[in-house]
Amino acid sequence: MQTTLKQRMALMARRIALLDAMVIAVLLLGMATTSAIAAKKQAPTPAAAPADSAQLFEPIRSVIQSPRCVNCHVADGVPRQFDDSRPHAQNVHGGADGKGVTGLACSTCHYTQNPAAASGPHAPPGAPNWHLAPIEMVWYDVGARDICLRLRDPRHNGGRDPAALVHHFADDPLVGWGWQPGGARSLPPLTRPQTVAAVQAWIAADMPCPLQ
Amino acid sequence: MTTLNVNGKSLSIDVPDDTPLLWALRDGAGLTGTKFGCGIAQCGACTVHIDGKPVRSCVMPVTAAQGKAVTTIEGIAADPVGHAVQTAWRKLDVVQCGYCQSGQIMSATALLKAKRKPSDADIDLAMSGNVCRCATYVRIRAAIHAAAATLA
Repeated sequence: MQTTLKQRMALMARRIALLDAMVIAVLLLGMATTSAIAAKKQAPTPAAAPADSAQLFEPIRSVIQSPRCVNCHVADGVPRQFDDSRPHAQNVHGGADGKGVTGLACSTCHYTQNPAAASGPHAPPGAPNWHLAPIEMVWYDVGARDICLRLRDPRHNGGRDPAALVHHFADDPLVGWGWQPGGARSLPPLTRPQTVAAVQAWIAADMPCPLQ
Repeated sequence: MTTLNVNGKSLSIDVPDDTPLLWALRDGAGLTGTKFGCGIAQCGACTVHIDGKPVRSCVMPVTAAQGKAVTTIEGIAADPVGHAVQTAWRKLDVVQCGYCQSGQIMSATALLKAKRKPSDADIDLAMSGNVCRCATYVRIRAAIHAAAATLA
């Protein structure tokens, strides 16, 4: 059976329309994927929080943005070192799980405890489960309000409710390393008990956040 | 007295508990293929395997290796991947002065045991903790690819 010119034109038009739809679908899918990746990498949409008129968050911020904490709460997967938070020597990366890359895990150099004093002040420190914080918990180069909003939100604080947050500060061995860093490393501005008390006071006040 | 499993053999080594594994191996066990470079895990010359994973033995206390399988450069040829790496190293004549190369081979073997077909980027990241003063990096990367090809 032979098709008429009109039928061929109609068939071609349908094919072009189908092709257009496929191109648009691919573009939309690409945009959606890009958007999802961007959403994962960028700061979370800030949630509302009570105003921190009593400045209850500032003591907490001063601790978690001290080098011993913030050097492992980074957005780019590159651990930081020293009090000036310079990128880790040797082009070290945290990898997909924050525990290093294939063939060079963090545990290659960082054991479960600090090295002997005889190794000197700059040998790699150690604590159980040495790893970078998840990207959702980035604190490096982030404003106080953003950190506060992340800390309030279980989607961005490692799924922790208030009790689990207190536990994180009070009992986590890797967090505790920040107060026993070994070598000549500086300490956070508050002690661990002072920090836990500050977190408890902040939680009791419904986790207020500074305006910026 | 510390008892270690090194290259499949049980060794009793008389060193203080806080002795770095490197010195227990070199001075206690006489296995001098593992080198002292920087002493603070910055250069990778002292790399050995603990249960198949690379570690810097210069800062790891000997007690942390107790009850685990320690593999040094003297024993890596018994591993098919280690053997392939050493063969590729010889074939491509990777070594120049050689001081860092036992650590390089241990790290390269660990990488290939975890990832059989690493890309250039995989190799660069995994080997970035092993420093070579002779700058044999290009030959090291080529040899890792060559070893990967023989293991495929």
